[in-house]
Amino acid sequence: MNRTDSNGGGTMSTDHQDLRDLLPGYAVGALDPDELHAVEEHLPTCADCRQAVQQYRELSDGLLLATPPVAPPPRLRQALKDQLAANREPRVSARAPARTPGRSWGGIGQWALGLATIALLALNVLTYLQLRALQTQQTTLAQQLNVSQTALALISEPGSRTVQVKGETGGGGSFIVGQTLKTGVLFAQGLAQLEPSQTYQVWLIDANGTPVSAGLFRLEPGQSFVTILILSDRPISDYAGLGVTIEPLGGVPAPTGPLVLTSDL
Amino acid sequence: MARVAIGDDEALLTLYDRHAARVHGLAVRMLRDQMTAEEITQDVFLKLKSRARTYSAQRGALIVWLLTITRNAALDRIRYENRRPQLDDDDDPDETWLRLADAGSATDEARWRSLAFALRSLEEERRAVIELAYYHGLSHSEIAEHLTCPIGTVKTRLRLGMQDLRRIWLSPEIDSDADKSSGASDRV
Repeated sequence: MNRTDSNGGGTMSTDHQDLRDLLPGYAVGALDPDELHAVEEHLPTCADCRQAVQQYRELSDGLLLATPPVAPPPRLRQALKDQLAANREPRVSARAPARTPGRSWGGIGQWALGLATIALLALNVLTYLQLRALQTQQTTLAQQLNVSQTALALISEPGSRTVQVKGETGGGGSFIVGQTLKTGVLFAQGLAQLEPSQTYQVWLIDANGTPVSAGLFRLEPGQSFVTILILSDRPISDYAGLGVTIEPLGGVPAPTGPLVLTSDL
Repeated sequence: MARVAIGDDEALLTLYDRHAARVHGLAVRMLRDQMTAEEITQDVFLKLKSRARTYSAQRGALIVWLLTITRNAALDRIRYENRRPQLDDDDDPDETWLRLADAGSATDEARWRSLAFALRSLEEERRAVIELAYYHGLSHSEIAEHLTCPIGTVKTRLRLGMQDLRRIWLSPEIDSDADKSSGASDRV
């Protein structure tokens, strides 16, 4: 990696150019952790790149404002006002009662009130976390429902068929293909959990044997069965086969890794 | 902001009246969900109150600071709920906004609209990666997975898209109206 600022007329190194190419992504927060580390290590040593970052940041700040304003409903202002008032109340009540010597029950009452407030807050946090977990589950279920509905629609289409998918090293599944649709649904089971740097990549193989990328997927921890929606730019029945390989995270333009599932269409 | 920092809620509501539509607009754009966008908008102004002492006008315009808080809050929600990115479509309110008569061409508003227009005029593939990164918080590898294309292609599209955007936005033809009055120093 280039550690010096070569603005003094020297030729920029390839490493410098590689890092410079990452600066637009840096400005919009798109860098992966290793890229981010490399750029942040480089910036203090390179005035040229710092200036470029500044320019891209002006642009990314502008993107914040390049969205149409949308007036919130009037109830939101009232809700904010109520919330602000509610946040003020504890201060007022804390100031009001002055402590009187000999009134120990008042002290106990304040302790009890404090404990009750803490318990209430804990309950609120717990409820909030449960609600969020339910919302996440709901989103996942909605996505699964979408895939399942697509599978049902495909099965009900005249001329649709289900082909067997064979596992090269165990596992297997089936693939539902419509007669004319550009959509299919792949069911797979028995696949292994991958390394964090890997992904499964689905390929549709045309009559000439050329593979076309049709999607990426990974298994969640503990998941052994997966349903994948396959979208194509032409009817899936035009293709001669389907394959699934293990590839680097992000996918590749042509298969490079081991073949784990295959099917003749 | 000084009044907000010492607990003046009326001052905070004045800032709400001035900036809420921008904050809410960004939240709606990012989340595509009215109710969640309302939650984010309210949270942003509560955060504005609690963080008012940390704001410094020398570090940038208040609206940019507010919208940065909004973007971060929206990205947190998107990641927490594992929301699927939704890119702009033909029914997007941007279309109406972009078509509005440019009565305020001498204002910053025209300047932001010209940037939105510049974004819209990018090649679709380049615009998509910018939007997925900036408004949905996806990294290079996550965009590649989402678009099912190689990561190198994503990096190239993002780089060329940002370069195009800067060139189109800052070109004299587009910039001339805004420059007449606001000048470069008004840029946030």
